[in-house]
Amino acid sequence: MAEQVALITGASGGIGKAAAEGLARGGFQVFAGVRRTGYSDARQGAGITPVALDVTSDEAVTAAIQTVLEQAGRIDVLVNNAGYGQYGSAEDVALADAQRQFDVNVFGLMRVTRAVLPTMRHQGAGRLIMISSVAGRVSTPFAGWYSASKHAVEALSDALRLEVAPFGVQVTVVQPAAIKTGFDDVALDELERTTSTEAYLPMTRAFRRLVEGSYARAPGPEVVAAAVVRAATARRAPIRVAVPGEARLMLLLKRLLSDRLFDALIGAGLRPSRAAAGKPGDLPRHSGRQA
Amino acid sequence: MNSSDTSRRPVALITGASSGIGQATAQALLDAGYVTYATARRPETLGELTARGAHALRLDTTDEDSMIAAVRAVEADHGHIDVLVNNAGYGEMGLVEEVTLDGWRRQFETNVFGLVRLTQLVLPGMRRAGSGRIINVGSGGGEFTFPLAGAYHASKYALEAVSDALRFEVRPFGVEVVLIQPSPVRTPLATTTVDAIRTAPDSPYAGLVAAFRQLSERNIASGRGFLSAESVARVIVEAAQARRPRPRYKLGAVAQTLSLLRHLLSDRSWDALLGRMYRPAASPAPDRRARA
Repeated sequence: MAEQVALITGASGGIGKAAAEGLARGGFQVFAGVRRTGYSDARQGAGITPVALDVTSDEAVTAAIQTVLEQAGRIDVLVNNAGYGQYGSAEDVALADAQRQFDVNVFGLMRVTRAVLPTMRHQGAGRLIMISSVAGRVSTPFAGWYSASKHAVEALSDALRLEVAPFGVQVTVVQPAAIKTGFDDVALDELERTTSTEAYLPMTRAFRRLVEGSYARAPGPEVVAAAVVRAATARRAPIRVAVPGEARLMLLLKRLLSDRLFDALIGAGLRPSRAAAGKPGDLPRHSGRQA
Repeated sequence: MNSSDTSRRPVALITGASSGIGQATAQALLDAGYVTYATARRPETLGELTARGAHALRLDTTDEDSMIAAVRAVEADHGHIDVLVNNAGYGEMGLVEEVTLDGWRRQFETNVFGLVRLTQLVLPGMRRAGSGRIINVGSGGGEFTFPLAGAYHASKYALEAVSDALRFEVRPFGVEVVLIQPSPVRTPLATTTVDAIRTAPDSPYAGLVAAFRQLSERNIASGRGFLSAESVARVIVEAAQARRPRPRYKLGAVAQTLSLLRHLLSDRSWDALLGRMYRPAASPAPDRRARA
C-alpha cells in the first residue's frame, strides 16, 4: 500500500505541530497547514511539507487541497485542529467576536471537511479527526462561546459519522482538557479584552486564576498527538477519545451531576476567597474598564 | 400598557410569535397576566394576538437594529423586561457535506448569534432590576443528533453551551436562565422541514435521504411523539413563574427517551440504533408498524 497521506490544519504550533510530528514519525506523508508559510518552513521536521491553509478562506482551502492531491495523489487523514478560545462573558463578547469564533472553530472545520470528502468517498476510505475539547460537553462560565463552538463540533461530527460511514470514511472526536500550548494566553487575553461590564470583574478574576492554575499543571501537546496517531492508525477508528485523565474525569462528573450540582462545583472553584487564600490584595492585574 | 405604577404587571417579550410555540406562548403569557410583547419578522402576522391584548413589534433576530428598536420601545414604557422568551429559530436540514457554508452560517445567525445578541440587549435592564428570566427554546435535539440535521443539531448543541455559561454568569444578579428542550411539536415547522431536504438524484447520499423522508413522513402522519404547541407554552409560563425554575425542562417522550438513551449508550450502540432507523428501504414492503 502506498504511503498514507495526512493533512493537518493549524499545524504551526501546539497540538497541530505535535500531531504533524507524531504522524510523520508514524510513517505518514504529512502536509502541515499553516496560515502563513515561510515562518514555519524551517521548523518542520522530515516528512512534513508545510502548505498555506487559512481555514476561513475558500480559495486557500481549495488551493491547499489541490496542492496535496497534486503532490501525493490522495488524502487518508484530515486532522481538523485549527481553533482558538474566545473567552469572555456572554453579555460582553461582541457579536463579531462570537462570529469569528465560529468562522474558525466550526465553519472553518466544515470548509476543509467538505473539501476533502469527495476525495475520501472516491477512495472508499478516509479518516476525519476533529480536535474538539472537553468544552464540547462541558460549558463553563466566561468560556461560553468557545464551549458553544465545540458543542457544535460534537453535534456535526455525530451527524457526519453516520452519513459518511457507508463510504468507508470514519470520524473521530478528540476531547482534550487543558494542554500547554499557548491556548490559555490567547483565551485569557480575550477575556481581558472583552470584559467591559464592571459587574462581572470579580468573577472573571476568579475564573482567570482557575484557568491559570489548571494550565500551570497541564501536560504538553504530545499526549494529544499520541491520541491522534492512534485514531489515524487503529484498525477501527475510535469515535471519541478524551485525554488526559482529567478530561475523562470532567466528562464523567458532567454526566453524573445534575445541572445545579455541576454549577455548585464550578461555583466552588470560582469562589474568590479560595484561590486568593484570604489575600484579596493579591488579585492579578485587570483592565478595570468601566461598564 | 399605561397601567398604574403601584402594581406593575410583569413584562414579557417573545420572539417568533407568529406561529407554533411562539404564538401559543404569547397567548399563555397573556392569560397569565403578563404585559406581552409578541414579536415576529412580519408583525402583520400577529393580528390574532394583538386582538387579544398583546403588543406587536417587528423583530428579526438577524437584524440587530430591529432588536435594539424593540428593546428600547419596551423599556421606554416599562423600564425593563422581566421575561425574555427566545423562541425564534428554524431547522437547516441536509447532509453535512451538502449544506452550504452559507446555510451553516444562516442557521447559527438565527438560532444562536441573534438569540444571544437580543439577550445582551435585555440583560442590563434585568441586572438593574435585580431580577429577570431568560427562557431559551432549545430542543431535545440539543443532546442527541440525527443524521441529515447536522447543522440544526449543532446550533442547538451550541445553545446548550451558551445557556449553561450564561446561567452561571447572571445568577448573581438575580437573573435566571432556563433551557426548554421540547420533543418535536406539531407545527408548520415539522412539515416544512421534511420538504426542505433536497438532494440531487445522482447524489451519493440519495438512499439515506429517501430513508429519512420515509421515516419523517411516517412520523408526521402518525403524529406519535409530537407535542402540542400549547403544552410547551404551559411549561414556558411555569418556568417564568416558578420561584426557582429548573435549568432544563425536557418535554415529551422523544426528548426524554432519546436523551436518556444517548447518555446511556456508547457511541457505537447509538449509531447502531440510528442505523436501523435509517436503513434505506430496499423494497417498498410495509413494516410492522404500518400493519399494526
